[in-house]
Amino acid sequence: MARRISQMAKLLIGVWMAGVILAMFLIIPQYEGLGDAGRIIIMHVPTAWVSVLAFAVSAFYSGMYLWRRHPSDDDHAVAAAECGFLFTVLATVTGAIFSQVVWGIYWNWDPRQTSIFVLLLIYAALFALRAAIDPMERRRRLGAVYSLFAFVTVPFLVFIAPRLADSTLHPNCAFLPGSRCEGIVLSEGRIGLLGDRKIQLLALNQQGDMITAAVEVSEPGLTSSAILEPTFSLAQGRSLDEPNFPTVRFRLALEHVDLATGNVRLNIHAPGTGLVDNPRTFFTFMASILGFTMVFVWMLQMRSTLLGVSWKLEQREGALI
Amino acid sequence: MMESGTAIYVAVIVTLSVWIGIFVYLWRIDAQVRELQRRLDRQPEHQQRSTPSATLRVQQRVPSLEQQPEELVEQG
Repeated sequence: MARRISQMAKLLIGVWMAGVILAMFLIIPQYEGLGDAGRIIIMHVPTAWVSVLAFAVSAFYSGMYLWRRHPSDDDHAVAAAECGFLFTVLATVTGAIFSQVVWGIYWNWDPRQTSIFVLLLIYAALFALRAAIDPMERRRRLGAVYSLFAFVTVPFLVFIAPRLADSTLHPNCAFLPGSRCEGIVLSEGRIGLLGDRKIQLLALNQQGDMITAAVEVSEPGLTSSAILEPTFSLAQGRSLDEPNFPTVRFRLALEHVDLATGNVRLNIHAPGTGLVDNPRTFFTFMASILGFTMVFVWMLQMRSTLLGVSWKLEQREGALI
Repeated sequence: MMESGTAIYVAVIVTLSVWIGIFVYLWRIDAQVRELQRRLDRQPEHQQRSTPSATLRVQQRVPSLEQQPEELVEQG
């Protein structure tokens, strides 16, 4: 009975992911400005999230191994780390493809790309460390300790480091409603920085309930500048026209206007901003996260079983020192 | 260049094919691992115990060792 349920669950994973793929291409709408390339987000972000989950599971089982010394805990820890590595590679590759579409280059050592590369190196070192130690007990113990230390870097490299950098092109705060970048507040004549662009609010014009801001945007190094005119609807309380920055596919948004003080909030919107505002996109996105999580659980269970079996075989054949 | 209407169907077919390939691969590995584990679990416990094979071979191939242990000690 249990075996039957397990088989059914695995079939469900197959059908579920096939459904996600169909929805990704045929159901969700094209994203404005990105066309069909924006659909890769349905694969890119969930694989990145599942990799963080996998590294967390690896750290959990590593801790359990150090506490209980059950070989099966170490098997789970290694299997989860391997899955995490695989999903990180997938996130990196899909991200590079997306980067080619949006930034015109596969790899440009953006802070996000650099941090994910460092993360890959850290976990590659875990596998190298384990492979370099022969006595099994020692290998497991050192591997577990290393895995715990490696996981400490994960939140920093995935969530914090790319957000510390001002010049990242990666849409850090773009995807979920309510998690946008803070932007900058300016009054007429004042200057500020959005990313690595110098921004100056030249003027505010009101026509009915529509506010238009004249904003001078200077390129990095002040090599050139352009006047952009984002608009804001007082009636709807949201930005309307969001002109593209010169040379890059980022948009300048007028997010808030306070007529009493004359202050406005300007922000940079990356391609992908508000992507999941559409309900069909949102549900496909969530289905993809769930699907990849199920695939991860399946792979984790299978790989840890295989590690356990090979360990038993080694024991039986007396191959261990 | 392919028209975008055609291209998206090509992309769907390619992505689905890749997923079906991965799924079949995972399914087969899963079945093999379970079969391996079942076989291993069926083995009697004493056969799974780690025993230095060199000792076994010595005991099996040199029966005289068991019969005359005193001689061996003297030689050593």
